[in-house]
Amino acid sequence: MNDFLQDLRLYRTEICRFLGIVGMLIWAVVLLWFYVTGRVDSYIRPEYLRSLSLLAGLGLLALSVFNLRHLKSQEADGCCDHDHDHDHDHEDTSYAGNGALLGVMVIPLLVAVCVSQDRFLSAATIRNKGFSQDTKSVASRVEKEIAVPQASEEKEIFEYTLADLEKVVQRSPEGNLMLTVDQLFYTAGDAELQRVLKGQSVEAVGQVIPETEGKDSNSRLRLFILMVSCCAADAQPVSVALQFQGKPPEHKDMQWFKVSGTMLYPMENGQKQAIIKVAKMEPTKEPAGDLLY
Amino acid sequence: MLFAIESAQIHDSLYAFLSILLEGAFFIFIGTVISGFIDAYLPSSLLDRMLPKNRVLAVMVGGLLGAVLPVCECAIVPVIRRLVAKGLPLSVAITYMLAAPIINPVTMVSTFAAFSERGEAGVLVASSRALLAYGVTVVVGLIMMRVALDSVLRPQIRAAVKAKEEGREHDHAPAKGQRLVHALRVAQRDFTDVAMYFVVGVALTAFLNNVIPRNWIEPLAANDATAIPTLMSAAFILSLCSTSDAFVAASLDAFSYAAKLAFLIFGPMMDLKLVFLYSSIFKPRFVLILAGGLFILVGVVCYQWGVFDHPAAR
Repeated sequence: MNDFLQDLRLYRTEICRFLGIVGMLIWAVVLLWFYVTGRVDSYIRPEYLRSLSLLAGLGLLALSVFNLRHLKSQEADGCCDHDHDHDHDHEDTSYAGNGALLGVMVIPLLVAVCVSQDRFLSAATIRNKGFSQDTKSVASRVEKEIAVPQASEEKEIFEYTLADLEKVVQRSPEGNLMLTVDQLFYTAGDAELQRVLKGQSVEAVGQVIPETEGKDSNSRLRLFILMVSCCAADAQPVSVALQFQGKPPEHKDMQWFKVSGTMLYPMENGQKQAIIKVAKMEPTKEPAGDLLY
Repeated sequence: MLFAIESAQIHDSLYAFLSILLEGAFFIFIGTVISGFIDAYLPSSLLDRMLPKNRVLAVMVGGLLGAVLPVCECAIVPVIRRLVAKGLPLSVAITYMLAAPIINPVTMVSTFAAFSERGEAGVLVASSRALLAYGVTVVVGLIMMRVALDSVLRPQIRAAVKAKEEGREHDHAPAKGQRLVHALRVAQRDFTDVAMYFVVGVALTAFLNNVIPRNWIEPLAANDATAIPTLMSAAFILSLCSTSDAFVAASLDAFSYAAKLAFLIFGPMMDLKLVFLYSSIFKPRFVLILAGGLFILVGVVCYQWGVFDHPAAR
């Protein structure tokens, strides 16, 4: 026992350094594990941030291995054998300090890794984030897919027709136009698309939560998907309302559904709303890549 | 109670926590590696030689350093920590620290893109953001010239500066063969230090981000006197990255141009996670004073700038 305590005193600097390396190694393993398993795509924008998470994991691993190899090497920074007071930027070699640092650094991380189901679970969270009312927020994505081409000097102004839309949007075997929730949301801000889509049978996939605002809230649900700029924390729901004849059918909050019905564009709260008058609503699997980056 | 928390919301906070952490890990890592190499390889005298002798001019240059040394708000903290310990004047360091996340090419291009792709005044918003941020950071830098280091820096950092001032710092310069070991050991130490503050800040941010309803802020958009402090508070809690915050600001249609600018300027300088990161360099009291001062300064400047409010930026 005495030998052990003596060792603890003797190798205090090395043990404290080792604790820091353990913390970095845990971060490295988590980053690399998330990258290799693809979990990282449920958290951050894949295009460029995924590669940065790989680089961070590899970098931390390399730094940990290097410092582990040089755990014992002495250099001025850690020597403490010079003759002035030690009030400058030296290594902290207290077990309590380094232990607490390691705890704060890794315990919340490990808890989150073990608990997280890689998606939002609570309807309250989605509601708190607020449903976007601004159709321009999806314009950069949707305009490439379905927006009405702008007339130019070279090209005469033409009337956009259903045939034009059908060139870029497929129909399901049941004859529904298969659109995404963000595309349907966008149409609420585009008069030409509304003219073409109003009364058409459409189909979309998304998650549902109860509608809580408006006089028709008892007969409505909200179909939404999450749009992300950088990481899941900044996710913003875009949605369309689902209108039922009476009370909405049985469902769980946040459940995924394939919904089909007729498009309506009534004026509510001073602006056009995209609403699906639901004919059919069936549970469906969560699609791969449920976040819209 | 203002809001009831469900257990699923705790889960969602952990999910959001992990997402910010995965996003920020690279920037913290790269910042701490740069910090290690600065400590091992950058002679203190070089800083003295590079900066203008005139302190006011040095502060003004500090505000523009981000254009040539672009670093985001997470990565800059360990770098500044080391530069201050190496003897970079505090006034210049703070000016650089506050300005760099905004006055850098990546942020300026993303601000331009976020507003332009909505058919709005991208050039006007991006240039106003950079210009006002520069003005605010230089003012803060000039004020810092009159503040004593003892009241600002954490004792550990203050001691390193003191050792440098008293000429004792050279005792700790690593031998040539040991420089790489020293650099990477310092990088490790800085990483673990900064990561600890980052974890605490991100955990709080993720939690508040999920439980505070966004629709609370919409009724306050009607006039700048309420809209500006509201959006600055939102920026503080949301703790968005300066390279992507413009996309969020651009979508806040109910708010004026002045309020959006306040969001875009205050957020990268001071947010919840930065309060904890800054605490690895500065005394907590100073961080709180800095937060309050920036809140008032940015608010007043943006309110005045609102006179030039551009309808296209709404």
